[in-house]
Amino acid sequence: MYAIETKGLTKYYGKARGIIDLSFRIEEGEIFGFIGPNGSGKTTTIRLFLSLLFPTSGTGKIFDYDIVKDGPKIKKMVGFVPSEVHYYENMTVKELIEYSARFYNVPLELRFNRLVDAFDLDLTRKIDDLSMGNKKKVAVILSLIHQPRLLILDEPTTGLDPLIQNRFFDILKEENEKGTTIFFSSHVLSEVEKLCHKVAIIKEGKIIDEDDIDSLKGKLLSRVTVRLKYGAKDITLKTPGIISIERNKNECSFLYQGEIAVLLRDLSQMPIEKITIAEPDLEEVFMHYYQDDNRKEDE
Amino acid sequence: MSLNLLLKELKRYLKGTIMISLSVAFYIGFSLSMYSIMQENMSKIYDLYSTIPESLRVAFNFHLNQWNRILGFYATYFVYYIPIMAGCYSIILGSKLLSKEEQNKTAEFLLSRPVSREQIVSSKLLTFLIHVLGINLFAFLVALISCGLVTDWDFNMVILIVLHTYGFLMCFLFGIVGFFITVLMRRAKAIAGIGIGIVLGTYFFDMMIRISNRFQFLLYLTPFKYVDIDVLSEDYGFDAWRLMFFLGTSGILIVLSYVFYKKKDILI
Repeated sequence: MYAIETKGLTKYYGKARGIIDLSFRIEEGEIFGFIGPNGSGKTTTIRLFLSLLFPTSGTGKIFDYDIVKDGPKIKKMVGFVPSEVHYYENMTVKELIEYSARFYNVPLELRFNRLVDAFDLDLTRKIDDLSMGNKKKVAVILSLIHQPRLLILDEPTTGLDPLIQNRFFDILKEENEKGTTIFFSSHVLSEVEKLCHKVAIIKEGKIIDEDDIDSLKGKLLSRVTVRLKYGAKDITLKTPGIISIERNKNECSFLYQGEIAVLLRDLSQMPIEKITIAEPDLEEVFMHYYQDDNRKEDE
Repeated sequence: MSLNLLLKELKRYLKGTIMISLSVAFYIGFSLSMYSIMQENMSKIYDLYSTIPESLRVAFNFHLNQWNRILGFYATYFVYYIPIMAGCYSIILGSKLLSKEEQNKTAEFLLSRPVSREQIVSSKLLTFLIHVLGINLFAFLVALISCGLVTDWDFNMVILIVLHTYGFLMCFLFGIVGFFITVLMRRAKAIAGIGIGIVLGTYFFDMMIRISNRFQFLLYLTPFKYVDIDVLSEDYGFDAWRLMFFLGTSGILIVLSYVFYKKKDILI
């Protein structure tokens, strides 16, 4: 049995594309990253899992339950953090947490205090008065309070400050060690790298790659910027894996795919004053895949 | 049905329901308390009445010959207070139940809890039933006590029960219509304006039918035709056809609401 299994899962909104032919499997106990730019179909996929939407074609199963027919059974086992949090404005934080917990028939005492302490929340405040970050904290608590077997997280860290993010990741790791499967949707690569075992990349509604995080890292690009020493002549970069070089006076910036050690060895021969190696933004990550597409088209 | 959802919903709309109950009750009590004053000045009223053109009297259901009996007098006003005033509230409430969750995007919260679409519809409809029943029961009690006080309890209570039952069924039907419309909407929103339009529009059809035979075809478009306010007729009572109209139409719309909402994509 898989935690999540989809076969040809497709969703169109009328004629507009949602997702096309998604097939993947997530083992129980895995942390699965689902990464793609905005509008690529991540939230559509999640809403299909939660039966807010129904598929145009294809099937999806969560712990062997059908996402169309067995919605309530699935949701009993799932904790969900939405990307944008919308709650009943007139309720206080405590009322909302109690309201949510009653749907699962779980005693609140079980984890309530620990979670509230971890996220440092004022329970007496009205939802309406909370900042976006605090609303997100409430969402995280709601998702964990019934000890779900599967956590579905849709851009869960937006709005959380770095300290709380770290605490959140610690809790996720703890939950995972206890056996909870985690489906982690994000457009921030570093988060996914930090946490996930496996990753699927979604672009324009289709999965374009699915891999272990380690092999994926090998395919990823780095954004490298080098500044040449004053008066140095222009340099020629010949290391394989360097693409799209941009030059600006004595600065040179490019994307690199491959072993960083190899690149550094080559660069060390050159008159370089400063070097920065950064994670590329998601668009740049995708260039690798765009290039693949182009190459295929050329052939 | 989800008790958790039901209790929250009952509380959510309580304020509005209390407001409309008090308003309707106030108008009913006020109108009925006028009854004895009017009885004393009947001749003046008759002079005034004779200046109103016949067609207008028919259109607005003013039948002065009925006004010497309290229920005949009350039936004239009843239409405005229950089917129209409470009816407008009902259709708006009916349209809010599901659409508010979609508009405020709390549908995502609700639907990601372990609760089925059927349970959501059931809980929302039961919320609606309890609220509308509450408004109508309160209005009935106020009418009952007012009639009692004004006439020293010399009136036929059964007639009042029948009249108010029709009023309740009408409110219920309007609410279900509002509910059903939002089920059909791709992105549901409350239909305050359209709702009031439906209530007043169908009342207007009813007027047209009364004014002229040419508009008989509108009979099928207005539930007002099925509210029997001819309280002084000898055989006044529950009429099977009228009851079947209300229960049948509401029933069909309820079943269709379940069927469509179960398959609806919630786009938020």
